[in-house]
Amino acid sequence: MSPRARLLIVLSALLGLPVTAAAAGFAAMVAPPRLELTSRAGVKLRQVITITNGAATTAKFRLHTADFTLADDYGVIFQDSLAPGSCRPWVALERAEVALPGGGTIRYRFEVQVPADAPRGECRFGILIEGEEPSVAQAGAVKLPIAGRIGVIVYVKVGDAKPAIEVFGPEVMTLNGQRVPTLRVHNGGDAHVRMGGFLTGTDAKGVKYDFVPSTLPILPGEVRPVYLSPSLPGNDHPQLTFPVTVQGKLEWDDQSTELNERFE
Amino acid sequence: MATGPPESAAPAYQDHYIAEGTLSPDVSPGEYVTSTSGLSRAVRIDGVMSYIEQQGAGAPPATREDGFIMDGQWDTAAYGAWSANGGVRLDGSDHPGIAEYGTGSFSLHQRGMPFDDGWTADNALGDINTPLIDLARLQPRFILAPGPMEGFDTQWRGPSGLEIVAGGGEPGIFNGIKIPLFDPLGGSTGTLGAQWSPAAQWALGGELAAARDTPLYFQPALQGQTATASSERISSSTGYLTALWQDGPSRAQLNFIDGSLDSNGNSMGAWLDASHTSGAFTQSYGAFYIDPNLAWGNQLMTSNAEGGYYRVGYQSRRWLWDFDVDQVDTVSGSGSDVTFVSADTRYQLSRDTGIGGVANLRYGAGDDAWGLQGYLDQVNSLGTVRAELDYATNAQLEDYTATLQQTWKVLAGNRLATSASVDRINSNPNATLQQESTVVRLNLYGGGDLTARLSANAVVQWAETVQGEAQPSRSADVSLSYQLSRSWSVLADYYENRVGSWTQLIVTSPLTPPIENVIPSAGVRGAFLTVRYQEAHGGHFVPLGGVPGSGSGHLSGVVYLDANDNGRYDAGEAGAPNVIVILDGRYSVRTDSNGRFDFPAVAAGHHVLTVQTETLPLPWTLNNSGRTEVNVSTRESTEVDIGAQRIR
Repeated sequence: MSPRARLLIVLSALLGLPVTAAAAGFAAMVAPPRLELTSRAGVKLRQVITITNGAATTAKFRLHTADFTLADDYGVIFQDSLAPGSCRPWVALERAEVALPGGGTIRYRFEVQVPADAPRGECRFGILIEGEEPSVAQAGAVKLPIAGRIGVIVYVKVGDAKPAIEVFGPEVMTLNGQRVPTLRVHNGGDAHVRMGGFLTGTDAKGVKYDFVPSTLPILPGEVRPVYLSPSLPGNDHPQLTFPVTVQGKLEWDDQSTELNERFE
Repeated sequence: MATGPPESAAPAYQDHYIAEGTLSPDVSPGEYVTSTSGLSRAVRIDGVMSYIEQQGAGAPPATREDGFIMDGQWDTAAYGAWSANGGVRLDGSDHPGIAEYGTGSFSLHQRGMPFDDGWTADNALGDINTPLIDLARLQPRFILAPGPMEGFDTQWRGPSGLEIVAGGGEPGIFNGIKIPLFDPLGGSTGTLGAQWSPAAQWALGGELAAARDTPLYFQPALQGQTATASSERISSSTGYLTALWQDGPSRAQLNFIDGSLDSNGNSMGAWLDASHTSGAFTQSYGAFYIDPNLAWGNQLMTSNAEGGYYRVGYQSRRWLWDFDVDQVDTVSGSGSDVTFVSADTRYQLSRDTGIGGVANLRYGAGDDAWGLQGYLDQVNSLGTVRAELDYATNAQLEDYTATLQQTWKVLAGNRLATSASVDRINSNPNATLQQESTVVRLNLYGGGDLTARLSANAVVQWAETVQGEAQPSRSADVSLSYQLSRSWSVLADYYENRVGSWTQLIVTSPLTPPIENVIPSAGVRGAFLTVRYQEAHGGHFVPLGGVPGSGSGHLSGVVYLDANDNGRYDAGEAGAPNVIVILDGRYSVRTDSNGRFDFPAVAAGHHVLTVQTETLPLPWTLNNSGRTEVNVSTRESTEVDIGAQRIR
């Protein structure tokens, strides 16, 4: 985090004020927010992201790649320096800067050249679009300049890269103030994974629910909680009474496992 | 996607660049917003040149549809949101198949004009539809269809759910392929109605409609056809009363209608619709009695029917099924009972694979028919695929169809869906319409940005007879748009519509508005060249539904006819053209020939899209006026597909 941004947040916290960023300095629209691609060794992929200047006047944007990791709360932490094993040297961007007229759009191209001797695995990187002109962040009466940015996350599976999943549990964790059945999932493979599946269960009061696994990404080597959120037609905020039993099939990639667990 | 402050001022790693960074940038000239001061206002003017010809032996000479289309929208601080739409045809002989080809149309709308004590008013003038109270629009089975007219309407909404509507004018028909044209039919029509909520759970309403010395109006029966009118002139007077009770997941609506059509004497009707949702189950049921010869204004409504229906549906993450029984008899005759039974189910086998089937049976009135459908949906590395088998039979013919649909994964901002099918039709030797044929059909729906300046949209449906006598069928609407500068762009469009001399057999409820027997059409095709000028002010800092300085996003989508009822826009399914889509009850746009609509700058936050269902072609409808709730995020594009269902 930059010293300017940190200062703003510290000031806001001290003053008990909300942080808002004015749109005038940075008004980029970027699509898509994420790309999930597949490739092979020796193959060059060319892809396009569209960047639109949502401001009325011409704006300049700087673009560069970055490595990233996911924080415990799934916030994305970008790293400008090259991470060990980074595939960013495979990536070629169209240009470092773009200038867009008000409302103008660029189809911004980038390439991923997978080396001929690349092993199977997953290439992950971000493309950061940063406003050249600082925006104004306001904490009450205090205005401070910060530079806004948007990051597009790119995953490229190379060869037969796959996740390898181990499921641990059961546990009960708190999600958005509500206790929910939770599993811990270790991804020992070489590609990220998002869990899914159709699970049903019954709580201590005998109420039957569908359970929806959280679908946030689990990167290779990570262990993440997978929350099983209850779903009940006609009830947007169902309250579970533990213990809860959950059965069904947990799915990921093209694989699945049967689940029959008691959570208490 | 992540947002936030940068980690450091300068990247520690030096990126590589394609062709050393010498690639020419693919940049659009920018949006047509020319200033950002003041309230939001925009204008669009299209100059259209065309060449249209009718195909086939004895076809009349080629014709033209040249002219202008004008659209304007502007917000006012005290008088609501205004919009003006118009079209004028400068040249051209009669349109093939249309006796009177309109020379122009114009409408002026004012929406959401505020008054004290919570009152707002919507007013309109010009070529519009007759107004209806909201309670009359909530009809799952019997539809009071407002007809097109040249006149005025006013709709007032106030406290306690009070709504007053009135309107009147000369009935007419919208026609024109690209240019919206209106052809007055003579005579007059008028309506006056009101509704009110005396208690939280109750709403009462009533409306009167009358038509004098004017032809009956018939909505287009098939996609690509124009509306028609009868040659004889009628007069009608009809009154409608309704009471709605709604308590959470339960609702019931009782309707009475009474009127006369020409010298047929007095006719009356009543129908009750009720529904209840409990958990994953929804039950709907009703009973009806409607005399023959009832019209709403100059439009015939479904009449001469008595009976009842029951429907139960279940929906969970994995299961979706419903079961429907209709029992219908004619009021005027005997021995004409018809029973319709329909069962529809879908099961999600896994995250990526689902299966389903539909069975329909219609029995009675000498028109026994039944049909079966089975399908498999799968998400694969290329997109989403559906394999479907259909069989249907009645006293006249048997119809076997195998279909493969694919919605393709494509680059961001683009869309592509294709389908291929083989249709085998066997006619009974005693059939009045011999259709012994094997037909191959290919459909494509796609579009997107080819470059930052050039975009394309295409809906193509092609059918060829590989065996038998059936005539081929063609339908195409392919358009290219190139942005010359911020305000100027050029659009080229190829249009073709030829209805084949065969039709797929669909087994429907007798309460479904009828689809006329297909008459082989010689077909129409044409090319259109449009030069477009657009200009807007205040668009970015006063987005639609926002306040100065609020963030905005882009909201666009398509209204389509969901023929297979899978909730997804597939190739072979048509977009619904000329349908009015309304944002937050204030800002309206009309869908283009592919059913697409576009709100370029919408305030970030929660919005409600609704569709004027009466502008949909029959037999299509949208539950709850297609009410779709969307959240628009600052600087993001939101795409909404609104699928119309076949009335069952």
